[in-house]
Amino acid sequence: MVSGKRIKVSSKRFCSAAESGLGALRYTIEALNFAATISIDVELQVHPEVFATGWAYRWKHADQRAGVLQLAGPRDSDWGDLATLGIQFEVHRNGELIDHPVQISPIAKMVRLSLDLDVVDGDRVRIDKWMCALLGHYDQRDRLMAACRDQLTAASRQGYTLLREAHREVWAQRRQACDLEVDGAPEVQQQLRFQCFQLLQAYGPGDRALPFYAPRQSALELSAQSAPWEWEVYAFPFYLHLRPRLAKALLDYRYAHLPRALHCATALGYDRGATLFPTRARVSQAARSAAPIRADLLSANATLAYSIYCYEQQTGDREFMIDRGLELLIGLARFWTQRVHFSPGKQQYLLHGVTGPNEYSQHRNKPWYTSYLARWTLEYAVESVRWVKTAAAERYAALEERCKFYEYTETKQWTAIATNFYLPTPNGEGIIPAHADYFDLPEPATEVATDGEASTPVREPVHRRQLVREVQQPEVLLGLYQFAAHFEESILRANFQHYEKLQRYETPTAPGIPTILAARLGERKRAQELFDRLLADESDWGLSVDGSALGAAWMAVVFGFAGLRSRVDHLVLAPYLPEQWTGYRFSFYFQNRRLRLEVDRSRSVLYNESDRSVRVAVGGNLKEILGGAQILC
Amino acid sequence: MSRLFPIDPWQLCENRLNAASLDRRRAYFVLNNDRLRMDGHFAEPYGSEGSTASPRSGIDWCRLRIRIDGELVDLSLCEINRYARKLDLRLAEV
Repeated sequence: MVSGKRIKVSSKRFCSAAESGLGALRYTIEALNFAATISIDVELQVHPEVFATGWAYRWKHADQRAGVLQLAGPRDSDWGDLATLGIQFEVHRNGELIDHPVQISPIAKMVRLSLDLDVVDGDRVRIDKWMCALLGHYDQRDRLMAACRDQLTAASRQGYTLLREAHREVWAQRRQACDLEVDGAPEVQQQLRFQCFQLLQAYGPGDRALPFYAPRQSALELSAQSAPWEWEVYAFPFYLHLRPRLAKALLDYRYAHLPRALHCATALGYDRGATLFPTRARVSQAARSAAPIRADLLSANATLAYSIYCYEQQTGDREFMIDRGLELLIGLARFWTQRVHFSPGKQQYLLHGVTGPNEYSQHRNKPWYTSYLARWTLEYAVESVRWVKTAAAERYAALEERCKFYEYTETKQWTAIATNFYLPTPNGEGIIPAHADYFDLPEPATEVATDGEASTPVREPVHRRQLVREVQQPEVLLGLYQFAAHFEESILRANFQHYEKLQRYETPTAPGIPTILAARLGERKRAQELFDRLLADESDWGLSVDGSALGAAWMAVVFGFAGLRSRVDHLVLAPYLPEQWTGYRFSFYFQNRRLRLEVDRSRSVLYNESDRSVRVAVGGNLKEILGGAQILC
Repeated sequence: MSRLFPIDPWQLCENRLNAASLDRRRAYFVLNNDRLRMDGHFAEPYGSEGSTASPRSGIDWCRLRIRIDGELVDLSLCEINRYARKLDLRLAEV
């Protein structure tokens, strides 16, 4: 230090995976060459304006034991309108607990507990700080305050070490179950582990449903902007394959948003139970008014139906469809029914004025991706209505009543639209136009990279972006990835080659889908290049890790390199080993069976770690693996 | 990532306090669970960060201010002999 005093400091921290909303910090400071008075301020400070719209500091209560702050949020916030945040601390000098009186600072928005003590050379002062966050409702404020203090007291009684052990135990289980191991490429391994770590640390014990949706933000910070639609595409599959219960919780979260989605659609003039999920699922009225609902951003609606479909297929859990899925689908189908219009000239239903996943291309008419998803959603909804009606007649009747659902007229209308939905026609080479005017746009000029890499499109100024074929998020490719089974390989290949060339890799997620397609089409060199790019892109991170990109690398390995695809009653696998790697291994769930794939230079083996058999298609042959057995892929 | 941290399959580690890329590195040391998020800041203050004008984060959980005979422990003012910071991916701890 400036005064010449030397200190040795060690600081350790963790957020408990075992106890919801609990964290701990252990800070040790050792005086090396002086005797002095040390003043310790243990603080908790909040800046509500930084983390969320509509939240404000209310009051605090601090005493000798603990300091607790309460913040009030918007009344209609999802996980409660009162946040209770508390800290407690303990100081030891050379292992002996210091019991001096604590001074409490009166500053607003802050808890500061202070303590002075004298030290001499060689003394070690250890500060243990416990932190606890609770969420609840305004009318329970006293109870929450007490609960927070109780939890802090319990934590301090247990002590740092025991809490840490509990955390480590839970974390180890979580990590081992979800680890994706890569041999021969330690830098890839490090990045993959880091990304999986972010996805895994984001949720609490017991697969708590709400706040883990975006790992970059905690529950409170989340309330301003949460659950961007990209999550449906890039993080949902990760949880779906590794923690199916969590995937269900994510869908439950969407279900909990139904009233808001209804409200959004109503605000735009839709009625009769149509739902529009905002591309960022905003949580409160206040936050919503800050960023208006846009009638052209429909990606969340499009991807939600697909997630429900994937969930059903991957888990085999059809109860969800009866309980909640169908209600969601009815709202979505009703939305699409009203969003399309009938063209007297074409005698078909069209979708106009849509900004799809590729946000460089705004307000397009007849977009292929969104139209395809809309048409498919209508068909899926009709099919699901029929199934639920026969499988659970009683609950179906209740649903009919609740949603004021007129099966005959509505499904008839859905079928009529779906069978007569306009999709832009592919050209002679099978290239699917991203939207109706796509072929009328010039390709962007390209610049040839000097280092011999592929040429990249020149960046167009913003006002010209609409006028060239630029791609930010892969839109047509996303559709071809999600519905690969609907298309012939030649179509997939032609479109991959066409669109990949135009793709601008400016967002962290952008290389994800192209990597998977490249790997599945056997373009291994390109797949490797794209995968490297996927790992390298951290440009958007700023102050925190970009959550939306985290699942993409895992997906690239599992769905791309290993070629994993799920079908209604079997799996498809086509694993290969990227050139620089010597092996990779991962586990996943398929319809309640735990499976493990191990790939190395000599062979690929799929282990069935469950006690029930599973069917797997490898190289076009459908094989049955009994429980506990294995096959070569 | 490999440009910021040495390659290691189980951890992100730094052995030098790099003031220039401190902001960027901070993103990697964030810990959270379902309700609580600890930003990647040091517990002790670093320079002017954390002042009322520029809060470190929405909820600053880890703040500690230590004064030794009135002199504040501020990492930007200390001469540092040995330094290491590590995110352990096996244990989920910093």
